[in-house]
Amino acid sequence: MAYLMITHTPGISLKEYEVVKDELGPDPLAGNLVHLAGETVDGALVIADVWESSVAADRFAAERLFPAFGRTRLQPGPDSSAWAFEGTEVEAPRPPALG
Amino acid sequence: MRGMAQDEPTDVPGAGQPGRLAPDVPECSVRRDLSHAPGTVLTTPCCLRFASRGRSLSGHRLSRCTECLPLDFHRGASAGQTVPNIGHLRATIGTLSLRRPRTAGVTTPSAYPMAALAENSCVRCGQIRVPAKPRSIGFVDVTTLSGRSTELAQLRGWFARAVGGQPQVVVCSGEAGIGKTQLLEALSDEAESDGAQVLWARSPSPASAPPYWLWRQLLGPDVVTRAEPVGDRIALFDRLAGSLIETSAVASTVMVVDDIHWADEPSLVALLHAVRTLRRTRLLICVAERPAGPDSSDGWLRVRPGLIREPHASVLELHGLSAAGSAELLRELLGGKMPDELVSDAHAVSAGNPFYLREVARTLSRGEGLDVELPATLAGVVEQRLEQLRPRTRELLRASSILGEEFSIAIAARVLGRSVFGCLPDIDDAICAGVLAAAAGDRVRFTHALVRAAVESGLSLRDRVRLHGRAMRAIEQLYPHALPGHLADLARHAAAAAVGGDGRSAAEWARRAGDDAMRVLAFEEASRLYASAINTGADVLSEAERGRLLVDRAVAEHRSGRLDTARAACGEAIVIARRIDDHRLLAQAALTLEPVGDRAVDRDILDWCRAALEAPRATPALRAQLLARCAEAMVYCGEWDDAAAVSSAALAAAEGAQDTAALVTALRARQLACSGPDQLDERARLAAVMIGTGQAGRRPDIEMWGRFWAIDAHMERGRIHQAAVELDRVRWCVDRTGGPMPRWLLLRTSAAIAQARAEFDEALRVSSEAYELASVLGHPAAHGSYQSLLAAVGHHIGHTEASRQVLTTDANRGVNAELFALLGPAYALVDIGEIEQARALYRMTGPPQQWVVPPYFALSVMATGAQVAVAVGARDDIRYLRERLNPYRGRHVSGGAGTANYLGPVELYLGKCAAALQLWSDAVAELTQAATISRGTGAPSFAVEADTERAELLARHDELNAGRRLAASVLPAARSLGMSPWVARLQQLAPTPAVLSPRETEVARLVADGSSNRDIAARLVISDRTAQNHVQHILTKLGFTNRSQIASWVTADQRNE
Repeated sequence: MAYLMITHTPGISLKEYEVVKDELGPDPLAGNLVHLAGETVDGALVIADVWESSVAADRFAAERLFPAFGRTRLQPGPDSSAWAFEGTEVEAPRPPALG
Repeated sequence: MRGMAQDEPTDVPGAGQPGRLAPDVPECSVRRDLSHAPGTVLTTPCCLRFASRGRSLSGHRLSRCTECLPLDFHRGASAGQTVPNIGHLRATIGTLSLRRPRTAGVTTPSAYPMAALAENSCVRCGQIRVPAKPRSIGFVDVTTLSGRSTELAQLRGWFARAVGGQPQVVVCSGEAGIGKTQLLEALSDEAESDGAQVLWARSPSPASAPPYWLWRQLLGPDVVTRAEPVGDRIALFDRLAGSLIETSAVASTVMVVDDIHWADEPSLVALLHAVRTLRRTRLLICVAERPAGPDSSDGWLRVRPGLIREPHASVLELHGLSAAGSAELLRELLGGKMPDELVSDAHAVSAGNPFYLREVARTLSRGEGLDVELPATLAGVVEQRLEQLRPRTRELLRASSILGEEFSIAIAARVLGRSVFGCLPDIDDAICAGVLAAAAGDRVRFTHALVRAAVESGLSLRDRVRLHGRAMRAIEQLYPHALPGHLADLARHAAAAAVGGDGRSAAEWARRAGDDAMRVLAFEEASRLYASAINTGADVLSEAERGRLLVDRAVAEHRSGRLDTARAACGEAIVIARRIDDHRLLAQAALTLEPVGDRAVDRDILDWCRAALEAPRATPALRAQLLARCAEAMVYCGEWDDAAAVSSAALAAAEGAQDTAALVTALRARQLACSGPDQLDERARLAAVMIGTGQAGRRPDIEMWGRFWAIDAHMERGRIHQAAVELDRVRWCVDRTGGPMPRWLLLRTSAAIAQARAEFDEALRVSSEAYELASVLGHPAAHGSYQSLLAAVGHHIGHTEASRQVLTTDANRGVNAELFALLGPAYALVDIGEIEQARALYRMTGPPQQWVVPPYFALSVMATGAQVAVAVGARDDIRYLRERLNPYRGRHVSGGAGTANYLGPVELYLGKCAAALQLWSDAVAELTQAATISRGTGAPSFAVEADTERAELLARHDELNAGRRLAASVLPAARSLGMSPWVARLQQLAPTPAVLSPRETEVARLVADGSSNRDIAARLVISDRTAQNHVQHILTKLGFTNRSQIASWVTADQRNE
């Protein structure tokens, strides 16, 4: 069952997001299925992740993301918020057949 | 599927409302102003407010710091001081100069890991700014040290001594919350401002950290995972100590170990070793402890006495603040004068405990008036603070309290069933309240051990069991690929959760943690973990599993030097093995301990091995090992004849098994069983076989034993030069083998060879080094070996007060050493002229015919016994001992179990015995031969001894002139070797310069210059004939026969002057 996490971080822009992303390096995020990031009109950074499991998400946070926060000194403030849940699999529409 | 709303937006002030602040927070004028210069002190009311109350501002961010150098992380800055932030601390983690993650002040801004850090930090230089002056209202957690000026002055004094090259150890002792950490921080800050380095380590409260945790903090996480020579823990300790010494060579160093009473025992044993190694290092080691009690680890209780006994160790006891000190602290914390009655009550309830007083001040600062109820306990004041936190934060703290003082946010999140990001606001809340503080990586920690303990104490047993179970699973899930670093923690959680019934997991994790501890040579910790596995798995382990864990524990205890508990564990394993008829377990348990001369243990080993040998199905190799161990135990138990037979059987079985390990074990047993003087040839053969086996298998550890045996054989044959040559070869083997025991044997043998060659200073230096090493090993033969070397050296150059103390100390618990415990001191007492005391000791040994002497001590006992018997005039004994020694004419007295000293040729003792029995011609012949042999073997001090005895004998036997001539000829050698007691004896016989006339003295000096009679005549303006007459008179008076003797005599006399 996939694990979804959405974070909303006011005061952090996509530019700063890129700094942290660079700090994480090129290695793939183990267990991450989908990663999306965007900026809302009020200037908050919103990130949506789909993980294979909550373990994969927590391990990434503990082993890579928090140390990257420490190195870049960019980290979410107390006004950030997060939603996390385990999602049921919904059948995706099939792509139209070619030809 | 879990509920979607598990991580709702929080109610943190300002959260979810960017740009808005909590209603009581004034707008900060510099909040969005990023243009101030680095180093600017922020003094707006907003910053003051937040710096003082520890609240965070929303919306502030940090930029990457590119301008600052890594600096230290200061706990509490003084007003106006700029403070580098946590990022710098992270940068230093894992380096040698790991700085102290000092206990964060209750509300010090620099403690914030998250937003709060950003709020008070300069976006340019990353430094946190603290207002220049605290507000006059509200709580200000001042960091000035109140009421500790006396203690700080004492610490300054110790530090000054350390700076002067006298390393110091201070045990700072006091109850929880008394201010130990703060005091040591104050000292560290002062030392740093003086240019010193500060190293800081902290012990975690529960046994949750990997072994050697203190050293991992001080020197880096990988410090104990580097390869050491097999099993060489002393090498590891030497390396740790060496790193400290190197560090303090760079600059004066303060090393702090906080909460040492919780430290793992291997860390403490290594610390004690390091302290004993320090010489002229500029290092002050301060350790903070709570007084002995339930909080103290067994390891600290065991190591502490040794640490405070060190000559440069001191104890500094911290008591509660005085009434005036309490009042001063409260005034500083609250920024104004407090009612006397409240101050008095607070002091009375707290007994001046600063932690309590701070909490009281914090309560008062909440503006609920002065009519507050003072909690009766420290836990009570902590609970009072926690009540102010949001329910979610309290829940996080409760769950985290079982994780230890420092914990991973990710693990805490999984224990709670929340997402990591969902926990951040709660973490922030706890940090703002001064309950948590930032640590490295994704970790945070409780600001004081009391806080964590208070939170944990509020948990029900059911909650604890549940939380520990979750923590165990969280670690298993998060760190499956890096488990070794988490094994101790897993074992702890599993043990706590085992109350709920999962004893199997608990036992398994404890066993794995124990195995890991053994791998890094943390034997005491391994033993603790194996014991935990045995206890927690009591209801689920099979008897065979329990038996193997007992053997594992016995091995760990044995390697920790705790023979009694090792023996007990082995005994339990044996009982189980017999009950379930597990012959393999029986053999494992029987082979765990090695006989070392402790009769009770050796008896057990013998019984166990015999029982294991009775079991069927033993392989030939295992049978050979059991037989060999049996034989060794028999030797130590006095069953020498049986030992010879059994060791022979062991060797035959091992040769048949074609098994190198079994062969080596059997050879060692055989060598021990053949350690008597009658089997010298056999031992020489065994040495050759052992050397060949080692060389064939490219095993220096095996070859080494053969070479040691070869040295023993050379020394017993008086081939000192060959022994020295062999010593170089054995040194090569020891270097490649490693381990404290081989090094001790090498040092001991080196000292004995130096002593044989009359290189006394070298012998004393090396033997002292060997003794220090053996003291760490706890080998029962260590003291006896050292005593025997000191006795041999002192016999020739005289005894110092220190050597007398060592020699007369009855610490000889060595192998069958009761006899030597009497004869050794008696031998030394004879040397220092205390004949009556020697006689008393000698009488206690009983008739020599009834002495029980192990074969390896036979010649040494007969020689020293004869020496004492001669001194006390025990004629019958002398006669008997002479007869016993007579067959060994041509041999040399050396060693015991290995070469520990050299006592000269057997003829020396035969000569002394003959002299005492008034067999003059025999005595003269034996002593003459002894001197000749000694000179030929390169043992000049024994030649002096033999000649002196002969000179005195001649003088007593109406051959005064011959005696005088002999004494005069020996005197130069005695002087040049520094043999003071022998010089004194010879001087009583030898002619003195006063014997010669002034003119003859003048002529003698010219002879010494190499002048011929003609030269002398010319120089003194006398005739050749007169010069010749003077020389002849000199020869006659001195009893010499040639001019070179005159020259030697003059030279020695001048040197003596």
